[in-house]
Amino acid sequence: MYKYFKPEVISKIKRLELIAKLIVEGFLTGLHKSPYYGFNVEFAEHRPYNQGDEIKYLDWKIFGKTDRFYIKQFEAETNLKSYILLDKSASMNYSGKNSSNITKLDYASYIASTLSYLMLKQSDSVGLVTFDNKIRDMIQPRNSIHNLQHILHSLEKITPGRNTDITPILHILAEKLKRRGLIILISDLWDDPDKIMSGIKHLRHAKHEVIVFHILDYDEIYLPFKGPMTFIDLETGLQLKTVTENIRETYKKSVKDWEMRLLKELGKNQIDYMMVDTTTSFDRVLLKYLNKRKRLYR
Amino acid sequence: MNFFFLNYTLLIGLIATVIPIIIHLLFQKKFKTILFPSLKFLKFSHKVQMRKLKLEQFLLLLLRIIIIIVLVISFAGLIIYNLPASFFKSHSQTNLVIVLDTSASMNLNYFGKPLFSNAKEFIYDYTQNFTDKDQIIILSTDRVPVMLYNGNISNLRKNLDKIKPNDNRAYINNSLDYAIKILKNSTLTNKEILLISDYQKISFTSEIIPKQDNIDIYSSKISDEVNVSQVTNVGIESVELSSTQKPNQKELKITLVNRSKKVATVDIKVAKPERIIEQTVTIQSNSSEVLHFQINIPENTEQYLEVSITNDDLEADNKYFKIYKPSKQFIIPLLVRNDSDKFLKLAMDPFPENPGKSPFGYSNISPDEIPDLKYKFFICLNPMDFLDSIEILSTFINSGGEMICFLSGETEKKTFNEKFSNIFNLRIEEIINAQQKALKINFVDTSFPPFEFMRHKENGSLDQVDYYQLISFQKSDSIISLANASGKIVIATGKKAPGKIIIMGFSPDRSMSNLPLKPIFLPFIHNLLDFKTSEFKKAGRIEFNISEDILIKLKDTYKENINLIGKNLNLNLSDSVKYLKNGVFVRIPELKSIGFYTLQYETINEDERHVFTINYDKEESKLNYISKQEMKKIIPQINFISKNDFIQRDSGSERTGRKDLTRLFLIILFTLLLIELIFSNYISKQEKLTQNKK
Repeated sequence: MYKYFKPEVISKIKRLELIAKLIVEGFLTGLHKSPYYGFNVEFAEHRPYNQGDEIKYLDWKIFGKTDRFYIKQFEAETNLKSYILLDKSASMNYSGKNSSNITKLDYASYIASTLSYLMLKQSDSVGLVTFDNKIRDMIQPRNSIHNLQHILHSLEKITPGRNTDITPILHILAEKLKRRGLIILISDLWDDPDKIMSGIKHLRHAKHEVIVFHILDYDEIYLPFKGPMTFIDLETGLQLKTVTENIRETYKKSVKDWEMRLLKELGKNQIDYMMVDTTTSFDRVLLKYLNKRKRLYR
Repeated sequence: MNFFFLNYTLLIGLIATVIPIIIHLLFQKKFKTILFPSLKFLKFSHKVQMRKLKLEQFLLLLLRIIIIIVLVISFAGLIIYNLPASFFKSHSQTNLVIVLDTSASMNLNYFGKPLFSNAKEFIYDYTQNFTDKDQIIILSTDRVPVMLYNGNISNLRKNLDKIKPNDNRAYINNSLDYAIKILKNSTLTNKEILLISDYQKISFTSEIIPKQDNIDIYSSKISDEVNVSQVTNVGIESVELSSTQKPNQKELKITLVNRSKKVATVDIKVAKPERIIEQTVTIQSNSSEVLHFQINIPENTEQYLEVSITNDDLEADNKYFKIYKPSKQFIIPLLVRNDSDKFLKLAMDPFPENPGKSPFGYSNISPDEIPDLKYKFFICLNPMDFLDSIEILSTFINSGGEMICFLSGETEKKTFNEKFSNIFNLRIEEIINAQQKALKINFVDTSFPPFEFMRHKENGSLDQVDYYQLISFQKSDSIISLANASGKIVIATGKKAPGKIIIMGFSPDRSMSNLPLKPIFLPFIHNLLDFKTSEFKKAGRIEFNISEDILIKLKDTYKENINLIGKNLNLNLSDSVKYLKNGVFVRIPELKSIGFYTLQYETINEDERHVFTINYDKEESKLNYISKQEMKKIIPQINFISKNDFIQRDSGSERTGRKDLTRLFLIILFTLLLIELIFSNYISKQEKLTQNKK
């Protein structure tokens, strides 16, 4: 089942619903004895105590009867509204040789569908916003199978759009989404970092929780090309002739600096940030989400 | 700063500078294209790294272009002048062409010394700092300039002593034109012309010598101007100093000559630091007087003796001029070698069975006499027979002589080239069979003498010869080839030798033993001489040096039977002669005064006699000098120099200020190549490092 965490395997499956199901079920099975599960008011079941579990969830009654430690598990409440903001700009339509022909948009779609499935599984409401330089599609968050299918259907049909312009989208959404919720931004963030920061801060100002999944291709991070190359910008069509070997080190450092800057500045605003390349296993992404959710309801 | 190149054609090599640019452009075309999400960081990294890379590539490209430019300039021979003498010390070779006035007036004595000797001394002084790397050429001032010497400083003195003035006027413009032509083809750094003349007006035409870049023209007038009135027939013939029995005492022997028609009274003065001898001497007309003095001169010391005479006819004291008695001229001897070791001079008799009917007589001379005879041509039956006299022949050819070689068919090309190519700069390029390759026959001249001779074949005198088979005659500047219809043609070229070598080929079956007496030569020589004498006829005037009118009457009944009639003429066919087309010889008697003469020629019909009249032109004979200002108009580039102007100077660069920077450029070239090697190595190492980091 764990093989489905690997993007190159999952990319062979056509249906997003199945993909989401495989990933989430596999993930949850792996988490069975771990402390990461939904905690809410309505009791669901007992499970044996494991080291690291919080003592406050011990069922003392069972202990009194059986002399064994059991932890009480509860059904999640459906009061969390989540929005997945998916960047479908032209730059997302890139796949390098190392990423088994999975474009960043494909990868982002997998993450979006998986998270949607997981959220629904946890009885959270989930919605989807796709955008490039404008909002292209918006599905309001609901806690229903029907809504999930709506989201998955929308993700299956997704095609690369035009150039990226994240900032106005973030500002619009910050104004539009009145109720406090969780915003999951999935993008390659190829925009002005200062402007992106201002948009995200605006979301934070509106009391939203934000997770940023920064999707990059392996090529974008490591620039593994050889020899003289003409790079054509997917969004602008501009060209640049250069010898890759000569600029690789400076390029890699620039990407690293970019990551560090986002990490630092977003961290200051309690925004979770994770740079993932399209070869990253999906469980890492889900763990990141769950950690965030856990912190939200502790 | 001025500069020029020794070889401008090599600058075509600068086109090669596009090679690195093309390589650079081709390299740029190999970029692979890829679509990429964003150029944001690429641009930044590109800016940072490519600035360095571009600079490196540009420097490398620039370096390679400069290397090619430097390489081309090195080969083209950049010469920069007006540089300080200390700048990059290197020897710059000099090509000096001396235009030496060889006209009759250079025989004039000036302060007891012929002007020509002064001219030679001037050349010695001028060239004293020359090295063997420098090339020195001496040109005569004949109407058609002759290269009297072509070599280096080592052999100059030996050869210069042999050069003597002639009886003709000078044509300095012609010689300067020729000198410029020579120097234009020279590849040496310094190109100089040195004109040494007495600046007689008649030697120059009004035609301006165009200014020549990179050629320096220097000139020195060899004497003060001489008035015709100062020229007298009284002079010192010789001054000799001989030892006596007493250690410090010498005997001074002065021979005075009076060639005028009246008695001359002269005061002779012998001046030297310790003692002055003065004496009045009377010399009869056409006679000489020998004076003896005893003088004290310490042993092993040089002593300057000034011997001068004063004559009432002279306007100034201490100046005397002696009439020079030149050697006889107008010699066109034809030399062939007979069975003995002697050469035959004018030794062709086409009809040996009818002696006395030929216009040709002959006498024997030894090879050693050749250089003294000023021959213009000679015939060499087979060069292989002349191996013992090869040095004489070589000198002869290299001083502008012409030689006609008759090669037997057996002469192999290889053998000839081995023996002669180095000496004459002559190589046989090809020996072809005329029968197989008739294309070499260019034209048939039906007026050519052999055809006339053919008409007389019935006389029986021509049976033994086959000259009528001579059907081709080709002339060019450096080659004359002659074909025998049944024999072989020899095409030979000789470019370096200033003289001319004419090769004639014969079929193998021809017997060479009696060739000197065979008329096979006649048409060829006849034609050749006709070519020479046509110039004489065209000019309508020629400089003869004859004191009085001479009437030469001659009977021209038939070409092979000519009687020469002339008053005061003691004709000897083996003597110096002028040969004309119709077979007339004119003997030139001794010269008695300097002057210019015209020659008239007419035919007296009734007795078929030809009359030559030689007239003395008094106006033309005046010594008339050109001023330096006038000369500057004719030769704008001329620099007048005196002995003091150059005696302190070194040869080549120090005089002209020119530097041959070839060696310097080669050093720069090697340095640049080294830098290129290190630099490109550095760049490739950098690239490897980048790849390893990845």
